Amino acid sequence: MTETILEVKNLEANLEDGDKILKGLNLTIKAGEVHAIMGPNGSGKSTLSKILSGHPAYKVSSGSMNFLGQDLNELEANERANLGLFLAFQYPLEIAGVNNLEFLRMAYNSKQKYHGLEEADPLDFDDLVESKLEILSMKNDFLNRNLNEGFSGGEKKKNEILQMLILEPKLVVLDEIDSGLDIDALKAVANGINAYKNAGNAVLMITHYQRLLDYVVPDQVHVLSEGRIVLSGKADLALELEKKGYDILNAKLS
Amino acid sequence: MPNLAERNKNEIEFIEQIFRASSSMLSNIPNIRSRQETAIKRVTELGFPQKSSEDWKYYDSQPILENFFTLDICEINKLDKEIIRKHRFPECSENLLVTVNGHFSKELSSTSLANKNISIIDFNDPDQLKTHPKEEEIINQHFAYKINQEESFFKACNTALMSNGFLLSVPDDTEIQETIQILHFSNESCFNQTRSLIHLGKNAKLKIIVSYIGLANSHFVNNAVVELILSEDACFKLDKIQDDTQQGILLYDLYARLMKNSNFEYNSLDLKANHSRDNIKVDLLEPGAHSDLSGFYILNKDRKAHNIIKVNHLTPNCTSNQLYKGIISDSARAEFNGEINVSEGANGTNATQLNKNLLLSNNAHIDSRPQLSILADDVKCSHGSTVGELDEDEIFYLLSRGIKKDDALAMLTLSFCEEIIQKVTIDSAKQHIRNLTLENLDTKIHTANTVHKLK
Repeated sequence: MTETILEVKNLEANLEDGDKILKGLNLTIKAGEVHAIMGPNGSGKSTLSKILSGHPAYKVSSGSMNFLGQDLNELEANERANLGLFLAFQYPLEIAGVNNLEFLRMAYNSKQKYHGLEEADPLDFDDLVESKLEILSMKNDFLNRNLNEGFSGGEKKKNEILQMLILEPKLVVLDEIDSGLDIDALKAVANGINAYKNAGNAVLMITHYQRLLDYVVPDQVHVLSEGRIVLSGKADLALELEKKGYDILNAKLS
Repeated sequence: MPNLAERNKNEIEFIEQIFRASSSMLSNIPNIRSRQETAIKRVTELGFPQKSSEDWKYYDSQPILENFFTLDICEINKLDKEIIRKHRFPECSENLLVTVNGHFSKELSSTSLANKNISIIDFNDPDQLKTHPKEEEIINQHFAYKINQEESFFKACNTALMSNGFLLSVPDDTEIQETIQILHFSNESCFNQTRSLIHLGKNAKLKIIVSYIGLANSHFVNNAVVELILSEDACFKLDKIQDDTQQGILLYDLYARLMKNSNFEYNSLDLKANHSRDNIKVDLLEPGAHSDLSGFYILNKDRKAHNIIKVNHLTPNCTSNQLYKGIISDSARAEFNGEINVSEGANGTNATQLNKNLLLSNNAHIDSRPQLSILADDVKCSHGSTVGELDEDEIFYLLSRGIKKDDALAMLTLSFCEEIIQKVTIDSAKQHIRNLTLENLDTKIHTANTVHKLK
C-alpha cells in the first residue's frame, strides 16, 4: 500500500483573534503524488501553507493534520521542518548579515542532528550544494551572498528550490513558486521540482496559473473556495479553469 | 529618588576629593602642569553635572557619587603577563601599548614599537621630551586644548588628575601598516584617569584598536580622555571595544579635530560594562574632511549606554556619517543623543545620521534623539531613528528551515549588528565581539521568546 504523507481532516483555522479562514478542509496526499491547489484570491490558499508549516500567527480551532503519522499541531515549526515538511515561501525573507551557504549548512545540520545523524563535513557539503546548483542553472556566487539580500524575484524563488533540493523533504508545499518568474526561471524551478520528485515523496503546489502545471504535471487539482476544497479533478481541471475562470464553480456546484 | 541635600553633599565631597588629590598629581612638565592648574579651576567652576543640562538629562550619576573611589593611590599595579596574552589580538602581538589604572607601562608594551616610526611619549617623563622637540611642540599646542573653556566636567577632572598618559604621534607621510592595539586595564576599585593624545602628521595613516578591560570585581570608573588631531590628508581608523566587568563604569571623551581632506573612522563597541558614556566631538575644521562614526551597544540586565555625539561642520565641503545600532533587553537603557551642527557658510556639507534599536523586552528603554542644526544654505543632511523588535516572519523563515528558535534569534540578532562588527579592522577582534554579543544574548533569548510568543 502507498504511504500516506499528509492527511488533513475537517481543518478549521483562524488568525489569532481573527476571522475563521479555513472552514473544514479535507486533503489526503500519498507518496509519489503531485497535487495542485488553485482558487480565487482570499480563499485560504496561503493560509493553508502557513498552517501546515506552523506559522505562529495562525491557530487551529478544530480538525486534524497528520504528517507521516504525527500530529502536526503538536510540533513546533522547526520540528515539522526536520521531520520533512518544507514550505517554499511566496515572499522569501531577506536576512542581512547571514551568509547563504552558512545558512544552508545550518539548516542541513539541524536536520541531521534531529535525526541523530552526523553533521556534514564542510567540503562534502560544498560538493552537495554545487551538484544542486547545476540543476537550477545557478551560479556559485549565490552562495557567498547574504540570504536573499538584494536577490531578484527569480533568484529568491530559485534559492527556495535550492534549499528544498538540499534538505530532501518528504513533502514540499510550494506557495506561488511561479509568481514573478520569467520563462527561463520558471523552467529552472520546474527542473528543480522534477529532479526532487520520486516515489517516496510528494508535492503540493499552490498556484493561480496553469503555466507551471505544463512543466510539473499534477495528479490531482483541487479548487479551494471560502476555506474548503469544493472541487477536485485531474490535470485537465486546471486547463478548464484557465479557460473559463472560477465561474465554472457555480455551474459545477449547483 | 535620592535626597537632593544628600546628593549635593556627595557632589561637594566628590569635588573636594579631586581638589585634594590634584595637588599631588601635578606634572613636572611645565606646559602640562599649567593646564592642570587651569583644569582644577574648571572643575570647581563647572561643578558636578546636573540633570538640568541637556547632555546629562538621561544620565544617572548616583553610581559614581555613591561609591567612594580611591582618587590618589591608583598606582600602576602588577599585571600578570598571562592576562595581557589573553586580551591581545594575535595580529597585534608586536604592536601593543598597555596602561594599567591609567598609567602607561613601558614594560608591558611591545618594545618593537620604537622601530616603527611612531613616537610614544610618556607624559610623566620630562627627560624623554628633551630629546623630542617636535613632540614637545605637539604637546604644547594640543594637550588639553582650550582647557580654560572646557565644558566637560569629567574631562577637566581627567586633566587635573592624570599623571602618565601618553602622546602617540605619527610623522608626516608615514603609513603604519600594522594595526596598533592599546589595552587599558583597570584592576582596582579606583577613579582611573586614562589619557592619550594622538597626532597624525600630514598624509600619515594609522589604525588603532583599543580595549577598555576591567579586571576588578568591585566598582571602578575609568575616566578616559582621547584628544586627536588629524593633519591634512591624514587617515585614521579607531576601533574602541568596551570589555569591562559588570562593576565597571567607562566615561569616554573623544575630541577629534580634522584638517583638510583628512579622514577619521571611529567604531565603538559597548559590550559589557555596568554603564558607559561616550562623549564624542568631531570638529571638521578644513574643507574635504570626512568623519565616519559608528557604534553598537548590546545591553542586558540593568546596564546602560549613553552616546552623546556632536559633529560640527565648521567649513565648506565636509562629509560625515553617524550610524549607531543597539540591542536592549531586560530592564537595560540606552541613550543616543546625536547632533549634526552645520555652521554658517559651511556650504556643500553632506551629513547623515541614523540610530537603529532592537528592543527585546517590555522594560527595555531607549531615548533616541537625532538632531540637526543647520545655518548654511547649500547642504544635504539626513537623520533618523528606528526602534523595533525582531521580525516575526524572519524568525518563522529560519524555523521553517529546521533551525531551533534560540539559534534563530541569535542569528537574527547577530545579523542586526553584523554591519557594525564588519567595520572592525582585526578579524580575531570581530570574532571576540561576536562571542561577547552572544554571551549577552543568553538571558535575552528567554525574554525574546516571550515577546514573540504572539500576543
